Amino acid sequence: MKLKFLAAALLGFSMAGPIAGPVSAQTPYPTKPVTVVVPFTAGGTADIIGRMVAEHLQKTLGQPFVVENIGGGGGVSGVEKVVKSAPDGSTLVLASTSNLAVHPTLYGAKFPYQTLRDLKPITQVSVVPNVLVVNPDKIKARTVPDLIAYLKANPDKVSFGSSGIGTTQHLAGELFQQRTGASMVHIPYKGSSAMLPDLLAGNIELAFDNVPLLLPHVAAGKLAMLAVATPERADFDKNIPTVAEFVPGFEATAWHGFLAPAATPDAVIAKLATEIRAFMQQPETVKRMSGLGMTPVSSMPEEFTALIRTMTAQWKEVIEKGNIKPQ
Amino acid sequence: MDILNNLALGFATTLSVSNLLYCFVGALLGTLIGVLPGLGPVATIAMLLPITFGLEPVSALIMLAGIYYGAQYGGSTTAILINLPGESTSVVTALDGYAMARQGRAGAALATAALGSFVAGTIATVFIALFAPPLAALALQFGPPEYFALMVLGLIASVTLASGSLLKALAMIILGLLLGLIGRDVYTTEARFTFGLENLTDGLQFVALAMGVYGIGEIIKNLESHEDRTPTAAKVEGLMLSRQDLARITPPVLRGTALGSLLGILPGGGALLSSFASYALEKRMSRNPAAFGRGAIEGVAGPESANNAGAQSSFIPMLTLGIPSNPVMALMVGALIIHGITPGPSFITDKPEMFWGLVASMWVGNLMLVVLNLPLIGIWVRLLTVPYHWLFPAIVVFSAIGVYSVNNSAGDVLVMAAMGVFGYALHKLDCEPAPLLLGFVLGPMLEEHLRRSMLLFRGDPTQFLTRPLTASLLVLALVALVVVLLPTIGQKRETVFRE
Repeated sequence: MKLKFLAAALLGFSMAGPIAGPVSAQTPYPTKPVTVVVPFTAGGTADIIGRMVAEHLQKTLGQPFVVENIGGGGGVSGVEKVVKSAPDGSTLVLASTSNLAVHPTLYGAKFPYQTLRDLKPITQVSVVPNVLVVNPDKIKARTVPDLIAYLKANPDKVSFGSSGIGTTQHLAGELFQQRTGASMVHIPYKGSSAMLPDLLAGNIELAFDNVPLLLPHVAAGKLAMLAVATPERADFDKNIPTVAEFVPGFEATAWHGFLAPAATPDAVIAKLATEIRAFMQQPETVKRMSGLGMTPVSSMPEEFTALIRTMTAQWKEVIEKGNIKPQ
Repeated sequence: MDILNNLALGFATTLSVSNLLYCFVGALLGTLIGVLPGLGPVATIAMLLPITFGLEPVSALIMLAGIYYGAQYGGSTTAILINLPGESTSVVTALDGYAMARQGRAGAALATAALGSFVAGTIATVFIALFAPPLAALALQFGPPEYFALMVLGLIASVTLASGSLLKALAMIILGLLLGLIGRDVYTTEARFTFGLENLTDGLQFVALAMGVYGIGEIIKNLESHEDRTPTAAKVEGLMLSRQDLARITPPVLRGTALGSLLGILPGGGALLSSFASYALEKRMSRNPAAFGRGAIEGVAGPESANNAGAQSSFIPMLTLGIPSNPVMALMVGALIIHGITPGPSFITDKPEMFWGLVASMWVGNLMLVVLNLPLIGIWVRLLTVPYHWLFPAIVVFSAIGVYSVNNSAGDVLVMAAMGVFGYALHKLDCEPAPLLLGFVLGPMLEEHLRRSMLLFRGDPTQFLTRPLTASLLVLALVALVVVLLPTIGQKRETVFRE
């Protein structure tokens, strides 16, 4: 009760922000160093985006933007730290699909945060497309309809790998089964690179996974890429169909975006959104991002909020139908 | 002749002034962070990654690789001098290396580590140059059932790490296994043994555990004993190795190199096993196994060579399959991808100058490390003459910083502190921590691969025996078990397991 009151008070306070904003023409932000929490270990794709953006913000906003990697508990500790920090724009988080649209549902009531209650979206920055690949020696199907027919004729014969429970790679496989009526055995790994050898060797037959590491194997004929899991065909190869062309409405991508604690003033959010969006549109950024196998995105805070809401609902349904919850 | 042309191309790439410089910077940085306890190559490379955006990809790769194997060199320094292994591979080095240091032979131990690593690095470089593509194919032969069998073999062999009671060694392995299970289960995401503490959902950090049990535990032990350490260190004998020493270390170095080169190509923890495996092998081969754990120079030479050879050959799955076998490799893949180069099956043919340049730079880098490290030995050894009441606070501070830097987690520092007390208790109970650490490392992998195999086999355990490689490894494990148990049956037990 007391907490609710406090939250309401803070919310009211923050809503006063934009009104006060124009008076002091330029909102004096940032006035002190900003921490950008990346809830993953250093060096991953999210970390690279985080460092690129931080470097840009530091240059244009004139305060140090320091990246802090807090990679505990699949990102929970990092996001939780931001949720609990001062809502003045001095702490931001670069989070992913799992952090924002999966974990709060997956880990149930005891989970330390609810995304849209505790955080305020700034902008989405990337889409990381997942693609559907099969081991070509083990599975003869080269189209999605053929694959579905094969899976239905051989229930639970095929194993699909993922980079862990609750990752988009895993949920993509679950969604695929639920939408097509096929049935496979899920084999979770600790990350994509642990799964790849087993996929190449044919210990597992199928996977949805991020593009960059797979492409050389597809080129060498060691893997067959059947479709992309994005709503539109992907830029790297327009000849590859989407899964959605055969399974209507199928979407299973990973994405990243920046958020701040829920009570952060809107003026601060708007300023950050403008700066980050401008950076994401620079040709050099676009080039670097596509090198990492990601599509750069620059969305408005409202669009990002809507995305989180839609995807949370989609994955909630998949998790409940597939009975994936640990408790 | 092909190989000569390839190597010529590689050296032409490496020996450019700028690449030599990057190689040197990498090796130097690696040594420095290796020496600072706990501060590992992962954190360093992550911080340097943005800098590499602006470099030529081959230069970036050469520098990052230099940091990696440089850190392997540096890591053994603290393990030998102050019983503080900052990485899993240097745990084994600490066993006999630190015992040598206490006998005033720190210089010899450090020289053994440096020379052994250099020889191993040289041979492993040639090995990669000759066999990289076929070895990558071999790595793919190892699926979950094969890894499971390998881990079983490793655990049984780990009993030999102990020089005391067999029963206590087994108890330590089991305890290590249990500690390794703390955290979220890969297959259900259920948090196990965490007592609701979020710090524990990722499990205990190896660095925090190892530095606590060894480094901090050692400090508590030393403070209790009132013994002034300076006299031991003062009688530092010749820094260099005698001819007799060289003769003693040559076979272990060669055997360690062979083991490391082979195990290193397995992306699922092979490089990690190599130093443990080499130690177990040397102890088995030795005519005087009782000396192990009490300053046997073979116990430093073998594992150090294995660890460096393993570090080199673990580049094979990364470069030929795009499969990083550890976080450092994952960072390097990231650095390459940023430049639009994705390592994979066609990497060697598409980017020969990069592949061979990197291979050549490894040898050059190893040479630089020896040149860099041999003169430093004198300085490191002098560090031991610093009065202990000045030295130990510094060790504690650096350890805390190092452990914190791994995950930016204060919880990990607390874990290290708790493990320090635990390590002291182990010492009082006369239990050795090495089998515990091996159990800790292997246990979770054993479980992960066993459960994955069972999923793949759809619950039918007889399929383990239908895979020839798995079956042979399991038979080998059975033989090892018999060999381990035999002395306890006969009278020989006392002579092997006790002084």
